[in-house]
Amino acid sequence: MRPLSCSLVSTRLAWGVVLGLLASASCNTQTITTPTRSLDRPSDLDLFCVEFETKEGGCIPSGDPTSDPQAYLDAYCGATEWRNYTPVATVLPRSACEEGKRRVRRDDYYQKVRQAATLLGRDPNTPCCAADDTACTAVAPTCMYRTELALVSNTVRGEISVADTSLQAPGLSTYGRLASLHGGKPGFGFLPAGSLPLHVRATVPVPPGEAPTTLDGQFAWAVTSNAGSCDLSVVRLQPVANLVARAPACDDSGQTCSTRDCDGESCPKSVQPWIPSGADKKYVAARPGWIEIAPWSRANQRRVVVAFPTCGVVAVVDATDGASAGRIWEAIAFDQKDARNAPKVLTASEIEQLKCPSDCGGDTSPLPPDAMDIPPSGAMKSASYPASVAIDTYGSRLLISDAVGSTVTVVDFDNTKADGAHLLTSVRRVALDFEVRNDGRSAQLGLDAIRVTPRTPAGQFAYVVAKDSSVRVIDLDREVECETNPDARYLLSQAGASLRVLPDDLIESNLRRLSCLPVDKTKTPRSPLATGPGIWLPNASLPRDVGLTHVDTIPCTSSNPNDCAFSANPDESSYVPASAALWVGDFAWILGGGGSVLGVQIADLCPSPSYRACFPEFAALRRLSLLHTRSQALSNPEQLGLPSHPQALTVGPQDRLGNSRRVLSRFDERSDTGPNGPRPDSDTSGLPIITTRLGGSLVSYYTTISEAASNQTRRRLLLPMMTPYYYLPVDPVCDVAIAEQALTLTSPDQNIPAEPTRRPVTTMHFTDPAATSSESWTLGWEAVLNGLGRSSGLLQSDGTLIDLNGLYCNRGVEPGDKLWLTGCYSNSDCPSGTLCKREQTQVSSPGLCMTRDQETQCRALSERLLTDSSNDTAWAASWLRRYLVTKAEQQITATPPLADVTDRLTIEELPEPEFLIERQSCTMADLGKACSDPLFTQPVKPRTGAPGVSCRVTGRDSIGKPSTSCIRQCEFNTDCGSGFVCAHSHFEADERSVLGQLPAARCVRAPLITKGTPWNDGSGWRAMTQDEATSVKIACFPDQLRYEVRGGDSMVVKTDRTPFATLVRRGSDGVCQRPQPADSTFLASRTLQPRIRIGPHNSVADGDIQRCPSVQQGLISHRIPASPEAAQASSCQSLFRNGGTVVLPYGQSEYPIHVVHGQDFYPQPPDLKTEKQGPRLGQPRGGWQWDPICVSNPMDPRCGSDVKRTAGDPWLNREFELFSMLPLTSTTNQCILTGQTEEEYPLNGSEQLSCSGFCRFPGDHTEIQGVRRIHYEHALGNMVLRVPRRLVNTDLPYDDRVKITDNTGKVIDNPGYNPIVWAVPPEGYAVVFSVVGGNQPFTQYAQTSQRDASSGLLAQGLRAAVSGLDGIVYLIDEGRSGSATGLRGQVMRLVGSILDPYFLLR
Amino acid sequence: MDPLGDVLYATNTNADLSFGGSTVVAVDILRHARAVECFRRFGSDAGVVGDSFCGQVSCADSGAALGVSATLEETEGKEAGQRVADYDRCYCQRDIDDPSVVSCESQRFVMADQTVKIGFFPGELQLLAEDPPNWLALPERAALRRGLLIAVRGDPSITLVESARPLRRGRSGGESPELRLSCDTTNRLSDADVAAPLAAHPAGTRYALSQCSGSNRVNRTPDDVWVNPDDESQGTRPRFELPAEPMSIYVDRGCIEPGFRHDRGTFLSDRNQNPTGKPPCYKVEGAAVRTGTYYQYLVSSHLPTGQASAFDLGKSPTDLQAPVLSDVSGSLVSTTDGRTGAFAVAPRKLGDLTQSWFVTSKLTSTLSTFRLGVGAKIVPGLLFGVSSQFTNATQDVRSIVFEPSGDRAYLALFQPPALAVMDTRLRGGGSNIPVNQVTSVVNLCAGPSRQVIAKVPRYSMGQVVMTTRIFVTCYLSGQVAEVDPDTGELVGTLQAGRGPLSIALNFGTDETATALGYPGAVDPCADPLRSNSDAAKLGVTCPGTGNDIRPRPLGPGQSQLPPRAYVSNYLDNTISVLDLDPRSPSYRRMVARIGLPSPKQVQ
Repeated sequence: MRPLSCSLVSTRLAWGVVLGLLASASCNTQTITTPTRSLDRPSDLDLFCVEFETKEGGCIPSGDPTSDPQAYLDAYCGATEWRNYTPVATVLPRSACEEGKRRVRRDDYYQKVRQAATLLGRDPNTPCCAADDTACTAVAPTCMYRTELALVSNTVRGEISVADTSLQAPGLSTYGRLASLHGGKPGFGFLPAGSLPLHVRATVPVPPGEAPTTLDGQFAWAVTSNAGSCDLSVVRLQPVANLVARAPACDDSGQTCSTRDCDGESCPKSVQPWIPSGADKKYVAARPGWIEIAPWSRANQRRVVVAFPTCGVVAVVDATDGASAGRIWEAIAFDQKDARNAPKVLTASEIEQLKCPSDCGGDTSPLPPDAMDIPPSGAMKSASYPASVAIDTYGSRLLISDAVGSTVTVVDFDNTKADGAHLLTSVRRVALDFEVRNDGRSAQLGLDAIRVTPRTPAGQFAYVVAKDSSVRVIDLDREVECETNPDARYLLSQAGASLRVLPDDLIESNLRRLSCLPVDKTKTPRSPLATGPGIWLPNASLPRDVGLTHVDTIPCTSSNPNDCAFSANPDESSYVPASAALWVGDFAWILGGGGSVLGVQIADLCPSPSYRACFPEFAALRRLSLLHTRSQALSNPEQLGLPSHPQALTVGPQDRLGNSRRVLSRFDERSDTGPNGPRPDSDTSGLPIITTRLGGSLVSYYTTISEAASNQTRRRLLLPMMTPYYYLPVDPVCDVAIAEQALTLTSPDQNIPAEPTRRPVTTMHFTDPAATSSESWTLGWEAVLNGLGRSSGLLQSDGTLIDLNGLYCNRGVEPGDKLWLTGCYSNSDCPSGTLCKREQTQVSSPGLCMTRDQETQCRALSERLLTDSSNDTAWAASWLRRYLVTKAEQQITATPPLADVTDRLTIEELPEPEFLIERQSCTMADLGKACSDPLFTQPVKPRTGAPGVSCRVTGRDSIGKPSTSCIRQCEFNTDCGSGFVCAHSHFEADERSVLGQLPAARCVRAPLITKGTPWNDGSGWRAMTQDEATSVKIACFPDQLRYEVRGGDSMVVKTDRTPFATLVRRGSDGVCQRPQPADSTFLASRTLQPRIRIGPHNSVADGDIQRCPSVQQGLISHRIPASPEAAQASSCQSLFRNGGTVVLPYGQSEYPIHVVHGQDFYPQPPDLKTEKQGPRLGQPRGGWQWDPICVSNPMDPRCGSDVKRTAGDPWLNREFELFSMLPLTSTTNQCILTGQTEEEYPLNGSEQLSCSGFCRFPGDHTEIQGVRRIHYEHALGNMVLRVPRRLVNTDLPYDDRVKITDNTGKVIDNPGYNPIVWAVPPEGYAVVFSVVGGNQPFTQYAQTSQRDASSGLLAQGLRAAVSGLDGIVYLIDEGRSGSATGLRGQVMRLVGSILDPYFLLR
Repeated sequence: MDPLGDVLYATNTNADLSFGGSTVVAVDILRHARAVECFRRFGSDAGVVGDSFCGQVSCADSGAALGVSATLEETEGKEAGQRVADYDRCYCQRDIDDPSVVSCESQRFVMADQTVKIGFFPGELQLLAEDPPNWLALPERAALRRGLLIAVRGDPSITLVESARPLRRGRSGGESPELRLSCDTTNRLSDADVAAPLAAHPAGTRYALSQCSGSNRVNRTPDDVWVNPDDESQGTRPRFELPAEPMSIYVDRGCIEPGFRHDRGTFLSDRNQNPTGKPPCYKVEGAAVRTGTYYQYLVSSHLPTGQASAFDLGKSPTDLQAPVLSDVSGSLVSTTDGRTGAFAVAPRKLGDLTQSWFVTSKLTSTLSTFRLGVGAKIVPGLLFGVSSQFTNATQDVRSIVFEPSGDRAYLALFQPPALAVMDTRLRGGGSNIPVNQVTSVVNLCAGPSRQVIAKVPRYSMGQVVMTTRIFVTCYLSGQVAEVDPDTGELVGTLQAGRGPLSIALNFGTDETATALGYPGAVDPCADPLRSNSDAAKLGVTCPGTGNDIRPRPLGPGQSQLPPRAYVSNYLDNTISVLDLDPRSPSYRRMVARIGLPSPKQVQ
């Protein structure tokens, strides 16, 4: 130690450096110009522990603090001489820098000072401040502190930076100080390493089986792998620590202390790996990749595990000083020719035979290589590319990833063996579910970094970065890959069994059982929204590395222990609730693009929800409170001190999964809306808010009608709409429900019959809440499929449309969809040289682009296709050119003469009525016979003599046989409805033998222009020839045209943020089809169906494949049986301790919540006959739940479990329609819930009015009878669509017995009452609703606070994550600034779940 | 790079408007390599020195001795009567900063009498050629033809410049390639004209400048449509006009019908070159040979409008016709504020019309795709973005290059400087949509601009493997980055000069594409990384060893020009020569310049 010779200005180093982040940034008032950046493309970091102690200069007075504490402290606080001395640096074992050990050392070192401060009543942590001086900022002398020094490899400079992670740099207000290691040169200098140092590792070797001691630090060393110079750099850390040590006074204003270059002791030494070759050394000049320090390293035996990817070898290299430096002692070699063969631990003689490429030049191999070396099929890619290694010290395993393969190689090692024998030959591989191609000419996917977690309550895992932009998880106990994206429906289906969620009293069971579901497509179905088993980043960026963190306790920053969460008698206001950001346990961070860092939960020891983190009883209370919602009967529960959540939330297996993306918990509370759980937006009564639109205008989906007999009014459903349901929330963990929700019955408006108005109402059940975002949903009637509003369609004359980039399979086109040839509205829609041809009569329908000549030709030719020659305005340009898609193909060769590989739609004409639900079915035996149903509403009065509705051939089934249905026939266009024209069909060829020479024409949207379509060439009707069809096509559709493909006969589901994936495959023949049950993607594809099909005209019989099964017949029930072990858990039993009366921690004791057992309210099969009556106010109840005694005292023995009685609760019994699920192996995602009985419209409205049970839906209170309900399962959740019967004229009295007078004065049947016709929505109809409270992954962004010019910049290239002590993860951003002065890399850190805003190296 | 690996084609942008137009020049890099080698041997001092390869001359007798103010004609006059190339070394000097770098004055190697004047601000240049596959059977001085297609931003036009040269086996750097550049397809030189000896430029006389004919500068469709079909009195206009500022161009050629193939030499009836008489596109089905349809199209991106335009280049690369503009797309890329800015364009897979093309943007990280239909019709496809890898700020994707398999793409992002490697394999299920997933991101030197891909043989794990290397020019930092995309690592950074922009290699082109002769491909018989037996595997027969077509600066029997990268330095007005031979002590170093660097400027 030497005193400074220069003059000093007294500035004391903050005591606070010892306290790390807690120190004040305002201590340093100097103005020193500090470089804006010094790092240059950092790539990696490692840490080592150093204690700095200034032993000279009298920092700690030698006197007795008890005799005169004031004098003692005066001497201590006034001491400055010590600041002139360079402190002694002592490298310590890493664990010596743990927070607890640092505190012990600090308290011991400053014992006398603290003793004096205590005697004076001062805070021992601020001994230089008087006890009553709260404004004091004086800092105490800090002549001893422990810190972690960071070694940072800089790839561009080829240097290793050394940084103190505790100190502030003069002139900067962030923590973390880089040491300048240049002597007498401007700028910052670092330790010179080799070229392109990629990785750095540091260690303090500790003899095996011994506890680390302070003496071990002198043997500390570090190593870098230098990819640019193909060598290693090894450096001793004690000399480096000595080099870094500087007298505190050096930072004083005006001081210039010289810095020093490293010397022979402290400079890194180059180690060139070599292989023994007889008595000589054969140097390995292959590029080293990942390195780790071998666990069997000793103080005098440094060993480094080095990956040499281009050599296909992972080797153990000697890094000890001396003759053996660089020797490769052991190696694992991958098979050079066939990656399918397992790698091999090499013998000494095999090591001698190793040949590695010279990646850094000096290659003496022949160029070009001998052609004989190249395999007959051409040169190959590398068979394997061992890029990364990781060491599992707990399991004594070495894990190696393959940069061009899909396996992780596992090699056991034995620390106790001698050099050459550490690696055991039991090499095995863990195959990941990962497609790689290694055919020499394809993209190379593979694996990258591996990080091994410590042993956790959930097990031990390896995280592997895969180049498919995911991070894979391996359960190291079983050495299997974990499925991190299991199908949420599968989890729910198993929630009552192996995947049950137990109370937090039994958290270890939850952690272990739910930490890893092995990848197995047959046993662990994958989420349909996932593309693989790995964890992917929310912005779909490329993961680079994984940082692991372990946090033991909830931090407490208060000096008052009673304010801390774990104090014995805490104030309720100091409770720390469980939340997404509260991390206790084991977690991981995945570094992604755009500066994002994604949180992963490995073993969450304080899972949400809980009022008070880590206390099971508070978790049970919190789950109970989440069942409580605002409702129609209690719209302001908060006034009673009760929770007012917009929607009840329950816990499922998905909320307890380990090794999956941590989600911003849906149980986290927001001040304005409560928990975040996804739900349809609702009003103040908890009723869903849904709007219905027609184009851009709002339209009502129901109307209010009067009942003629009683003069009462009621609502009638006019248009399809989602179905709202009451439901009883039950916590599946403790199987508990809220008594008031189960029992209370009131009338929503005092007029209509009683309903369970304390229950929440919803229109959607989110089976996968973790994947649900806040966004707008639209159910559009025959809406355009995503990406299929295009302008590059070419109509062909063979009944097809082709488009080079239609991508119909990828975009999910299916038979039954509709093709609209939209054409043009004005000349500006047309290409140069053509005009938009439309008829004035067309109003709003589009025309066609053509030249004048083409117009003349097209008009003349297309009119021949219609029967009505009197109308010159009906031709191709004025047709509503809509067709049925019967087949979609992708990547097929177009019909000659075109040779393009293109995408094609095969189309068919659309007869009137257009929609299947409008068409009465008939059989071939009925061909030509008149149909009975009054199908049409317009025109009310058909022309006298019009052919009417008849059974005709309208298509072909899957085996090519003609299929029939009832359609309208015609002679003139005016016989048809609006938007239809009268034409003959090519299907008449199938009908001629039955119907005679020329069957009647039919109304169609537009004739099909293809060979065989009848037309009148002036001499009568005959089939068009191919040439004639081509001439029509050329005249009317000469060029590319605009078109749309729409979901046919269905409401198309769209979301505005989540891309709606469809999964339609291209068959080998190019035909698009949904995956079949044998296909591996079948399960995933089922719920990726955006169409809610409204079904056929006739009701579907029980047992039909289109009908829904009941819960008993196969639906997966949404109710989870009570788990005996959960019921016996203390936290669950405590809910019933006071007779089922529970006072919530934040509730008011005068308004407790009463609870009941969920199993007492198990749904029963609905009874169609009795459920309409239902319970009524003032009437005798049918079940105990309506007993006033039971309401007030649910635990009364008379109110015990009797599930049969619950049949009296029709709403409970109907929950399954929305909440239950079709079997996972179902071939469909939708089914019709209603049969003929329910779909049959009542004779009059009185039955509707008198209904008191489950006959009206909550909220809109429209009818149930005569309405079709369709259960639909989306990848994110379930919906039930209602389709009503059509009400033609709401101005007319609603009674079919009433006769009215038509325009001619004739008395006719009431046309406003038509119970047969379904309410097909008008074009442009859409149901719109918002989902709020959507979830999002827990993501941090690597960006410090803006504290100076070079801080506060978002990381641009996160490259590596290094786990530190005490839950800290360091993030290395290699930076991508293109400017010379821009930031070229920085190091930040995460502390627990939060990015430290004050720590920054740059 | 000419397929024979001995001549570079370069455009001068005339960005400072010093001249009345821009030019296209041919640079004899074989002669340059000879000059550098001779300079290294004998320097440029006065006194007669030399050997049989470099000639015995004194630099005191060279035009260089006249000083920097001497005109070209004056220097020629001084050297008249001698083999002019022997004086080339006299125009070289060692770089002040790095004496291992030899810089030679460029006028010695630019074929001045073959310079062609084109419109202002040429953008990218693409070369279309298909040499005969059997070099052994090809007569000496047989005519070889190349089409140089240039996006000229100022016109705007796609300009066709033709290069014709006689086959000269065993040419040394001291001999002229006798190459002719012209820009007038209507007065194209016959094969006999090309084969005839090219008279040396008379010393001291002025050089003539070739102009382009109108038909070679294409900026519209050949057919007209009415301006207003309702009012024919308003006359007609082109169906399409080329949008402003064609920026990036790409030539694709192959067979329209899937499964059909095109082999090199099948345009020729010569049995030595096309022994089975196969048509340009064919498919063998049993004993029958079906004939397909050959196509060659060009696509151009347009900077200010975000459009792409497509051209039909006729039916043969050896009888190249002026491009015919066939389609102009709408704006393929645009930002939320309505701005556009299409930049680079490339097909996923060469010679396969079923595959998507990709267009990058200068203003957004969104990439647009389209397909090219028969007749060169552009059909828009999907959009996707790569911004998630970086910040949300605007990305600037300056270049996109695909592996020949189409399964991987490399994107050079200008800001932040990075190379993104993207998995472009087709998704499962037989669909035709690429995965488009970034698999690695590599930090690059500042200002990455253009990139080239090379397949180089290396030893790995004890066997020879083809390794992919990406070379990216970094305009702002004056460097070239070398990236190993398999590992996603930057493996080298090479100094190049100020403002490096374009880069051409004389090696490492993929075998399949080489057989087709895609732009920039070097013939396997001229590739320093391929042996004659390698070439034979690719269906190309090389000349005998005595008189081959491998570029040998000092003549037959002497060393072949080793693997080199040629980088045009926009700010230096030079072309840097980088050594990429792993055996060389100057591996990954600049070894020479064509042209002396302009005085350094303060930027």
